[in-house]
Amino acid sequence: MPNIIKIKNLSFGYDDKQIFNKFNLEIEAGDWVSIIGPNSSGKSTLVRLLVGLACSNKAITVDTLMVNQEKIVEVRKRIGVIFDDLTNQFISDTVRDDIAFGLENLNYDIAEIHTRIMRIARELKIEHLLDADPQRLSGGEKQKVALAAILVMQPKIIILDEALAMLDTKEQREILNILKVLHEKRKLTVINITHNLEETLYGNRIIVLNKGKTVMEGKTLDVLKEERILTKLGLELPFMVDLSLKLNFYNLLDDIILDMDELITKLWPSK
Amino acid sequence: MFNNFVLGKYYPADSLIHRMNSFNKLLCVLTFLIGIMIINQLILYIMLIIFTLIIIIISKVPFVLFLSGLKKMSILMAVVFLFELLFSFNVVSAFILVIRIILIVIYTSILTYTTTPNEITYAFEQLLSPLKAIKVPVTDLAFLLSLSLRFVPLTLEQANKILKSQASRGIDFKHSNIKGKIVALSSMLVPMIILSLKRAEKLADVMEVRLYGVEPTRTYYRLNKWTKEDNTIFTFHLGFLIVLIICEVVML
Amino acid sequence: MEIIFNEVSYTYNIKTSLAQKAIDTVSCKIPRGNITGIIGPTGSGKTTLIELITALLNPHEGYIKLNKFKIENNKQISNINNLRSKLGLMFQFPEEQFFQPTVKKELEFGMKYFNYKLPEIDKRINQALKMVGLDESYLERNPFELSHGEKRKVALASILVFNPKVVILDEPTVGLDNRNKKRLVKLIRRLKLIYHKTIIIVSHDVDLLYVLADYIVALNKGKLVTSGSKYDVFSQEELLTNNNIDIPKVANFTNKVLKRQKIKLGNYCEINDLIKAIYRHV
Repeated sequence: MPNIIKIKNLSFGYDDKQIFNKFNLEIEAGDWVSIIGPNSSGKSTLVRLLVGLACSNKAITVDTLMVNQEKIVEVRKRIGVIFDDLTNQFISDTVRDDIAFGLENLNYDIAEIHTRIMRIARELKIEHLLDADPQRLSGGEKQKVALAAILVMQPKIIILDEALAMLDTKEQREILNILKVLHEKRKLTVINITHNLEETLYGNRIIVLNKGKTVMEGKTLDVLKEERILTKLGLELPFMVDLSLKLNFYNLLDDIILDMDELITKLWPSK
Repeated sequence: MFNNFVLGKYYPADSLIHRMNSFNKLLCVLTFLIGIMIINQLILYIMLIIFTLIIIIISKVPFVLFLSGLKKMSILMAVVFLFELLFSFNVVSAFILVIRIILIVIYTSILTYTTTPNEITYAFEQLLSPLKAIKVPVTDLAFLLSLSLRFVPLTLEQANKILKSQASRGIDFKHSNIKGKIVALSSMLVPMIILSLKRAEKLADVMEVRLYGVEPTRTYYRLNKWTKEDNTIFTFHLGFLIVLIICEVVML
Repeated sequence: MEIIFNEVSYTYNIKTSLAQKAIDTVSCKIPRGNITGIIGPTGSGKTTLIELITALLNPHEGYIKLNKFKIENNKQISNINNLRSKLGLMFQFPEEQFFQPTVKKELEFGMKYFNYKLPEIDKRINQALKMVGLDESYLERNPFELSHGEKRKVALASILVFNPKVVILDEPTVGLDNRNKKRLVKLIRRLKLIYHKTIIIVSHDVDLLYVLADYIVALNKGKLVTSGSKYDVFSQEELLTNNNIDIPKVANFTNKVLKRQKIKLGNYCEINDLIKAIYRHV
């Protein structure tokens, strides 16, 4: 699959700190990549650079478009970002108007806007929320609205910048499942930046960052097997992976099993 | 100190006022404000009050929302009343001044209760559109106005939260004397300003990424179109204003 | 200090058309000297509960008893500063409340307001810093320039300067990465074991509470679902799931093994202990 995001020789920093130094990264179209790493590894800065909120100096290409002043509008049409800040991401007092915001900005006509809003509301099952105040919704509902607002623009790439951090487990699972369906149905590229390694199990690749450098990257389970490296970075393995690896160590198991019931059957096969 | 309901948040309902075109609403509010500024006879103010009450009833916005807002302003109004009394020795004029303030607040909040921020943005944009001829960034200004309005309740909620937080550090607004209240307020201002600035930054980022301002004009998706009802309502407001002016002149 | 809730109810915007009952006849006991976790889905009333404990709100029905203090409807507490000095409450994102240019000024603000003497102030600041594991070098630093984890420790220290008997934390680990989470957990444990404080933690991170807390109070829609020791509470799988409350993964595993294999692995909250138990029973 072709690379939808290509970062080559990226150097970026603020006055007092250099964050990236000749950094390279490639993401294939249609991948679901989890980017993990300790605080100040550069994860959030990367998001800003990808959507042009910070200057990457010709180092980043998105869908063959260079991320610079000239092409930034086209880049932003292709990428949708959901941030972690639940309070400060809504422009309007009603869900309906907030979802419409991006399309209004591009001067779409009213009929088209209406059709797209109704379609996405049906798909994400938020029709009953259309006239609600987004600020009064639960965390999970808020992020669903944020997702809807992005999807109406029909992006190719969706970036979650620690977007699930404030949600409880059930809400996190709900959003991830919705994304999974969309990822498969629309062949979206998903980039999930997170502290919670449980979320990485939804994706097919992991990139581990530390201090502006890639420590490790590869298929999800391959990366998660590297327990020692991850723990040294202060990262906590997903429960089932941790359990499986530890049981492997004690020769009680010889594989990584992600389903709890399946694991129990493997441990106690006779009953 | 700041309780759960704040003046100005959109209250969804199906009423004549809600269905009005937002630019028309703005024009009607301005007409009303002109009326308030012009008249001085007490009996005309009674008429204005009745008029306002009728509009509130038509709007289907619960009366309690207006009352709670006024309750918070009661100290301010008492102060205004006393000052005017001291300067003019005229109870009636002091009374009128307070009524003026109340009416202005209530009438403009009818606007914000029945109109979504997007519609208010549109209304301001229409109002300021003649300025486009001299290159004033009318859309940006309109957004500035409506986003500020939109975030007032949230900002006050945050102020409340910070006051509570400071209370648990010993700086309690509710249970303090005047000096304590002043200290509590000042310990809230710095965090509030910082939070507001951070919020502005984040919103600006979000708006930029969602392509605000990339096209010379933008669509307003949900807009109540100007209908015959709007014609009636506007004519009514204008007519009312003219009647008030005539009465004022006659009674002088 | 033991805290007793007796049939407490609280309604927002009471007697208006927008009334909302946030706490509905809740009775429970929060034991002294232990760590109690308050759990429940969003909107279950967790934050309201702790605002009731600290008398930021007065209950509309029932009362809350903290030693000799009784918080009930229509009764203004005469000695509220005395009560407040015994309770330390830290809200979510406490770093948002900073307003002084140095850590020292942040920490001494409350005490200066109450006219504490200078030597007392310095003593308490040093105590508080020790409790949170920060050294004196932090005193002259700008609180806005600290790291996430450090900010939170300073916020906690500003509560601890009053040496409260009860420390209440509202979502203390939200927004922290795993490293800082672990540090905060250690800190909270020390507050209990070394400084003998009663600690109440509101959190939706049940895995964290399973490791850290001793007792759990579970709420849903303002009502008490269950309360008790953490092992008792989290073994009530069906009750919790029906009330939209998460179950810690270790507890979930243990429950499943019990249900399916009829094997009792035992009460463990750490994964390493769980492994040893599995080893013994396979």
